Amino acid sequence: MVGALGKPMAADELLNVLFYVPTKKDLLANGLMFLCAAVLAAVFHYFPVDPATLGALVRDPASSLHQNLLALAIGGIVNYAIIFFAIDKFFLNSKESASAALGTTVLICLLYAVVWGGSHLHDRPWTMVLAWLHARDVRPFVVALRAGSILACLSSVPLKAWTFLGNQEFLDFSALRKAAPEWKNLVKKIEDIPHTGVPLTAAEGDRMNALLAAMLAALAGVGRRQPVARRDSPQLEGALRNFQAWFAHEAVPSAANINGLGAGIREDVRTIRQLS
Amino acid sequence: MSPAIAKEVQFLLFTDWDHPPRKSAKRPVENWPPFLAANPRDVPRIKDLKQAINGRIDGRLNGSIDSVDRIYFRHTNVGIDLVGNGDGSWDKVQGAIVDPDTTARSQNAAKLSRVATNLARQAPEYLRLRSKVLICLLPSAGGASAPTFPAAPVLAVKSTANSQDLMSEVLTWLTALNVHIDDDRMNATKEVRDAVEEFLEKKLL
Repeated sequence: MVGALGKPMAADELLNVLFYVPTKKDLLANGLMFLCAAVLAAVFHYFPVDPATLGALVRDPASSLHQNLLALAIGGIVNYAIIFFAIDKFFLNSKESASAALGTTVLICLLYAVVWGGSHLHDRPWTMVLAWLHARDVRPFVVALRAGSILACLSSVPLKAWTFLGNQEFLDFSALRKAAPEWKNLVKKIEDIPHTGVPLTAAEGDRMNALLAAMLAALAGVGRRQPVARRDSPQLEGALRNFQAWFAHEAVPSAANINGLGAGIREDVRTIRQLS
Repeated sequence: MSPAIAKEVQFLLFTDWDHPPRKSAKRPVENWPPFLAANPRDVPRIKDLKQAINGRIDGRLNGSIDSVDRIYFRHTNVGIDLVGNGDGSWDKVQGAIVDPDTTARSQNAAKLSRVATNLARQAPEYLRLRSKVLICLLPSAGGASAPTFPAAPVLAVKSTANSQDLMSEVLTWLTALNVHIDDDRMNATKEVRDAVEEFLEKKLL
């Protein structure tokens, strides 16, 4: 498999396409919490949010297959949104974080569904699972997935609100992500100058310099990076530096001197647009 | 990766040629033939002159200054619209090519005055030490009188009658600048060496 810039991807980069890759410390912390929750659920029939108080939301024996699927979809979407917004800042662009959030959501919902299912099948659970598979009965699996997805999002909200501050080691690209849309708007304006005849104003020239400085500072920050971000950061930084040099060269004596994107800078602009 | 951007001096094109008189599209100023109005046989466009000047610079400096260290000529991408209210980094502009007929129109004389004052006031220390801001004055096709410039020793105003004259003035000035810079980077006092490095890094972008 190849990445955005056509280079083959390493194993951790491939994994990162579908999953958020935590640090060992985070993996251990999350794993321990999950293990504790699983033991509490399986041995003591305790859930972070009591299914009894949630009534039909987690499990409703009267629900049809379609209603279970609808509840599963809602749980999945809410989980996806929670995970996406939690990890988005650790990636260079939303495409990468959206893709990583997808696999992570599926994995978490599956884990919760397994724990929930295990707590409800006390005797010989594998025999029952095999029997359902043999009878091609999907309903018990959908019920478990529905319960898992609802429990996952209901447990992640209090965890986030009470104690868990999230990852403290990964480099936060928020400044880059905030600057990128404005940079793209200004570059579009530069690109259109030959057609519109509307030059950049002095304020827009100053803004472009500030945006470039902010984006480069964000990329130069200290901290661990998600594998795909680690892989693409040098290309993005190189392209931004080239653009910064080009802009300084062209904006003399002012930004009004820029009359479009020169052929020599188009490749760098394409790279920045693709990676930010 | 993009190729490294060459060091170039920047010349302002003080012309309204990119504003055609009727409501037709704006013309790229690089296609401006600076001497055509005064002499219909003098047809080279400013981009042709730029190419010729830089080609001759290579010929003159070949063997004495490495190509990566050479300083070339370029001009602004826009005509007098660039002047506006006079704001801008005029310390990064080392020369101007001035059309007197443009100066005579509308309020352009005031614009030229602002530009010339800014060029003189903001000229980098190194340019004051070893060279000047070069202003090439074109012949007038409409009988306009030559514009006046502020009395500033850092401004060198040269009248150019045709393309050859213009190329000759720019080439002489640019060759001398290249030679001074190359020599001063190695042999000058620390003060001058600092000034030349600042000029190269911060003024010739």
